[in-house]
Amino acid sequence: MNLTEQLNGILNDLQGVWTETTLILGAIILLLIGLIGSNGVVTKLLMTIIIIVAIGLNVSNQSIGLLLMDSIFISKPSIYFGSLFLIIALMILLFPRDKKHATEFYFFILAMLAGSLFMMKANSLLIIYLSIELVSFSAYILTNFSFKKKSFEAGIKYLLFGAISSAVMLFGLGLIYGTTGAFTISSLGEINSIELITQVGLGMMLMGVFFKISIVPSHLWVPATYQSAPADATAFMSIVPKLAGLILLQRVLSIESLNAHHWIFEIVLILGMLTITSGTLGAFRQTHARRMISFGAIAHSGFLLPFALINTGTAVQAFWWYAVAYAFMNLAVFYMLDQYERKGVNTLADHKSTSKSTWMGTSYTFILISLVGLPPFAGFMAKFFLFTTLWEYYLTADSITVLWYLIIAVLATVGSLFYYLQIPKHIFLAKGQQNQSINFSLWAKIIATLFTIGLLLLFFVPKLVIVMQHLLNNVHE
Amino acid sequence: MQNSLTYIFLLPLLVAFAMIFIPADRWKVFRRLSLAAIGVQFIMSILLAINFDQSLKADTWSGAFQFVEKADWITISLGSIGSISIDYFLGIDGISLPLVMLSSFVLLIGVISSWNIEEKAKGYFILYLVLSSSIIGCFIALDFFLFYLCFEFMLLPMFFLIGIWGGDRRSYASIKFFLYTLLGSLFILVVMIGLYLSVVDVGANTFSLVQMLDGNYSSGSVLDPNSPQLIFGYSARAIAFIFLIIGFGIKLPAVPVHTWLPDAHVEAPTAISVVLAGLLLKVGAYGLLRIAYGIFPDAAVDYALLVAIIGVVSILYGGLNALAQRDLKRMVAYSSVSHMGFVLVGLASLTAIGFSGALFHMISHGLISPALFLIAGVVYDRTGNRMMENFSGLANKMPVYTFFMAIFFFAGLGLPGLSGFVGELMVLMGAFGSSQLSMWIGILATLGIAVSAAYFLWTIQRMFYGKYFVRDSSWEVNMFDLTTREKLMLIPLAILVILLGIYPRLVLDYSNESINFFIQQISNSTP
Repeated sequence: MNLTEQLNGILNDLQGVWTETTLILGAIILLLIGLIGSNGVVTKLLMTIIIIVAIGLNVSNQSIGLLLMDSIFISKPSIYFGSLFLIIALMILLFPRDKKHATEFYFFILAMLAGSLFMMKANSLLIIYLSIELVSFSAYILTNFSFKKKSFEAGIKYLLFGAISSAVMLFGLGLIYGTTGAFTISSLGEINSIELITQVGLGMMLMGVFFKISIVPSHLWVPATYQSAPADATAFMSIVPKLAGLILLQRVLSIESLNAHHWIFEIVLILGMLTITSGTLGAFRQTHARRMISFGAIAHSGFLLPFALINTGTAVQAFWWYAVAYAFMNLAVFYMLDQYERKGVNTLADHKSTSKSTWMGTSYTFILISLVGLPPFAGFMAKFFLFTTLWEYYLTADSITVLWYLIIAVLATVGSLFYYLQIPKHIFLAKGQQNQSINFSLWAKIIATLFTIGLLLLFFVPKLVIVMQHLLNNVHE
Repeated sequence: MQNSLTYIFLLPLLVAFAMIFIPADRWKVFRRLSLAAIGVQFIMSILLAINFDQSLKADTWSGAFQFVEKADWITISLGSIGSISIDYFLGIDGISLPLVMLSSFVLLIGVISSWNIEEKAKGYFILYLVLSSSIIGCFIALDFFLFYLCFEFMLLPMFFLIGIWGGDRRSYASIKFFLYTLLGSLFILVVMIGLYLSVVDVGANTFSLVQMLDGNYSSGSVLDPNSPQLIFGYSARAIAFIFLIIGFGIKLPAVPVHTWLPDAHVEAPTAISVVLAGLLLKVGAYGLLRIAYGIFPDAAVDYALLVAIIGVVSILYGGLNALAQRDLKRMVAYSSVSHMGFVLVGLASLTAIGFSGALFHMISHGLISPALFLIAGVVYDRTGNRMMENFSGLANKMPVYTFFMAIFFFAGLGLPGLSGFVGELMVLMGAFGSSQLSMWIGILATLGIAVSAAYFLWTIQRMFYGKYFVRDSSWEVNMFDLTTREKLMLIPLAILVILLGIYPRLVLDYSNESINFFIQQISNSTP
């Protein structure tokens, strides 16, 4: 193979990463415009254009499989999940944002988005590491964007945790490469039996991924970070890198030589159960609304985790379903948190003062109920598909751990009702309220209503999600 | 009568939706609209009863239901296991028809009882109507998913109705209620998914309750009775049955998972107590009857004694607790626990008369307990207090009130000629005649009646006999006799309680064929 052919090959393959390239170029343009000086509307408009172009490129992408000398692997899910991430980034723009530092803020959002897309598609160990670092570094900085002492503290905490897990991960990658000589996941899959030391390496690599998905024990950064980062950044962080990490995890765990009865699977499942438990128990005693929701998000990571392990037909669809519902619910709940915090409502007790704003309160309640997973909201369908997946997998694979997973997930659902209800409880049921009327803007009410209608729609017409999957996925076999 | 079930089911929901757009300061509109909606619902349910074919004899469950409506609702293809398909599937038989009638009637009483709600009337009546739709939906749904949806969707309105319009400890009570019932319904959800993965209709998995009742299991599936499977070393079907007993038992409520009930009742506003006691508990009993007993008859035979023991414990423990209460409403709440125990004993007997008795007792208790809560509400509305020791000799001051109180208290303790007697008698006959239960169950259940006589009579003695006395002299002015509105609620209830006591065939004629068929199915499935 001569140099020209090689270059042509690379140029062809670049089609597969046009989306990410657009995002990075867009981010640079955004930063440059920010230097000249711009207002909020222009920034948001530019963001919209960049993301819409990226969605177009992502949907029209025809190349699938291994690209760029095997460093990237594009699967069907990575295409439709990619579109989902881009749509979420678009919806982040609904959050109000001050003109100050807006361009920098969105620059890092775009960087994190590109990192997540790469993370999802990574095949080479190096790309895995780099994409996770790109996401992490953007996240460290975004955490500080509310410019408060508290958020600086959270940023440092996050950075320290991140540094440790990235070091562990790097060590793991070294072990994998050193023992097998394989530098990509796909070539690792071709090795028939993997020695213990390589398995340990894989386990250490998973630590780095777990850090992004916030699985126990690397979840400790979540509450502090989510609590003090700006709401739109938090919404983004709690959805996109998490889902991207799960897809990467799914790829790593689908290596054939790690069969279903492997100890790594058991450990992942056990960690998942611990995640659900600690998220749920942690949320109980919180007094701060955002912190409580963060613990809820940890529990949701645990709910999502089995999808990375189970690859039945049901699981694939259920994963997509849960992901869409989770993304939508989390966006909605952080939007509400943001709106309330802008009125000075931070702790649970503060919610008492908003009892007059029935409309917002009702929408908020519906969104929280959906997070619990009660009908008639999207969250119920998501939980329902999760339980079905677990049941079915238990029946086919006869894995008792999965049955325990199901039991814990069910119990945690009851637990989650208890803490999510705290907010409606303080809004509506509290006594001796001072009834100072807090008025929300019409715009906020409209968006909150749209979120609620969306959640209802996803329940009554669950087909929408599947239709969306087909629309967002241009590669048909 | 085409689509009549849909109208009965969705009319309140539709009106509730329309109410959203009416400005909140026109609060009188809401109660009138609610009355109209529930009134129409009631009239339609009467029409339903008139057009119901009492003599329909069925060979399979799929032929046993009338006014059937079916439409595709959700179909999602899920790769390997085919597709999830959920139907909008309604229909009634002789078991659900009386309960639908009862529901629309009690809901109507509930609206009248809510007439004095002025604070946040808009929200109240919207929630009330949503609750109405979901209660009716539970009784007519023939798709398990739809049933579950309605079952769950009662919780949210109930949570707010207790939590916002309730008494002092309302937030504690409403959260406790919500948590308990959610825990129960998740048990049901797990069984539902298991059934879904096991039952097939023309090759595809289905949520259809009719197919589940007919036992169309795909061979080798987890709940297939012909290929017993073990989970944690126990039979999968037994576990599913126990899960359903727990799930519906919480709603029923059975001892020891009853503790949410007294709190919820005490804190709830009167109208909501009426609906809670009259209907929500019946949903639990109906779920047990239709789903746990209908789908798992084999397990029901195996665990008959267990269910009967839970029933007897509920009767006695609930009764003894009622005896110890000083709060009138709490006493009535515990009497509900005690009475719902009879339903469990009737079901556990697995005889036609026991089942009929359980159903009849559900209807009868569905009339008596709302009336008892209204009676308790009368004192509370006037004084803001309902501790028994604060009142005495009310018979002298409020004779009409005392008259109605006497009817319902005696109905509650099972005086012959009133509806409570018929239900209890049939349940006891079932219990004594059952081949599954030892005689002790019947004897202990009979003892429960004696306990109920004790707490009702003692209450009458403490509050109504003797010299007239109220604790606080400021209450004196309010101690007038029943108002027209209160009479309007109590008179129809009293008429029905007496009518059913004298002529129980009003209910039993509807349910006979269905229950005979039910018992026949149970004996078929257990050789």
